[in-house]
Amino acid sequence: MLTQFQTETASASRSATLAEAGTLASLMVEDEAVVSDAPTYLPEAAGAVLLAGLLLASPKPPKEKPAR
Amino acid sequence: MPFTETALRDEYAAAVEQFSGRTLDAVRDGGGAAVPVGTTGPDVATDLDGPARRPLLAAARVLGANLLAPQLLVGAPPDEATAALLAEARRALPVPTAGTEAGALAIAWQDWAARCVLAATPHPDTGAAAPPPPAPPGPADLGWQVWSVRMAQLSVLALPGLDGAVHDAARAHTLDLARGTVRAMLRRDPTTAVRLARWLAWAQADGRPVRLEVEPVLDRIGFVGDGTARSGLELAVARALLTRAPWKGAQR
Repeated sequence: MLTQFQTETASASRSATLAEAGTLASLMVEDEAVVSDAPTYLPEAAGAVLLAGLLLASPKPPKEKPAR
Repeated sequence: MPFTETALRDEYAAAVEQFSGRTLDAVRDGGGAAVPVGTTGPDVATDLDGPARRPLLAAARVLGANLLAPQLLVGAPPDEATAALLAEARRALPVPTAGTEAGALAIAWQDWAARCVLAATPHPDTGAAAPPPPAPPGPADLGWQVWSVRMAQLSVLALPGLDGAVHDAARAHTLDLARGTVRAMLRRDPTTAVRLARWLAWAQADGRPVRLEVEPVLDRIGFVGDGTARSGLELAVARALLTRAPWKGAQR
């Protein structure tokens, strides 16, 4: 529906509209950025599982090409 | 997605950014005015009426007490033109209602700060004698992570001459402020980080142990910050709080 793209601009009235109040509130109280949190240390993680995961994820050693 | 509010938010955010830049220049000038007296034209828009003036009033409403930071930081009397604009913005745009209880409390404290700085000007609010909002919950109730984010939303209160329950909490929990600053840096959220670093600078100027070297944090934020004038203003206020520390005599 095209009506959903209606834009609202600054009002000329003396009192704040509902949209204005919501906009002001969002500008006055900004939440923290939505990004991934800092890495968290998880002591309950089993060392063997971690080691196996790292070994699987590690790149394979380079192989020597056969001489022609 | 609220398409209808996007244009309005962009318009007001641009006005906030423009006004933040003017205030930032005033802080760097050491106490100049954010709204030059007698200046006209669309760039400043102090002489406009109607819809063209509305974003300016909204920006003044959002920035609140920060508008008078250039004078408060050097102990100069508040700029009259800026104070008049802030008072007009508070009249034209009442306290907006936030969606959450925590947001409403943060806005109430920001409004209290604007009311306090205006009390020392020829444009005091009629409700200047109203009691301050209730004290926000502390880190013991919320945990230091959530509490530090709430304190970042109240960074406008970290100014000379303001003192209340939020400032008492900042004094008592400088370690949690430092933790929150480091967490925000690790999350690569320089906007939150600079607001918390401003609180640390305020606490250090107040003579509290802050458990974190603030200057290197501010230097780092200066390099990796989001580059907006609004964050630049927070950074400049934090630096000014550190370098112009001998302000005392805060009034409750």
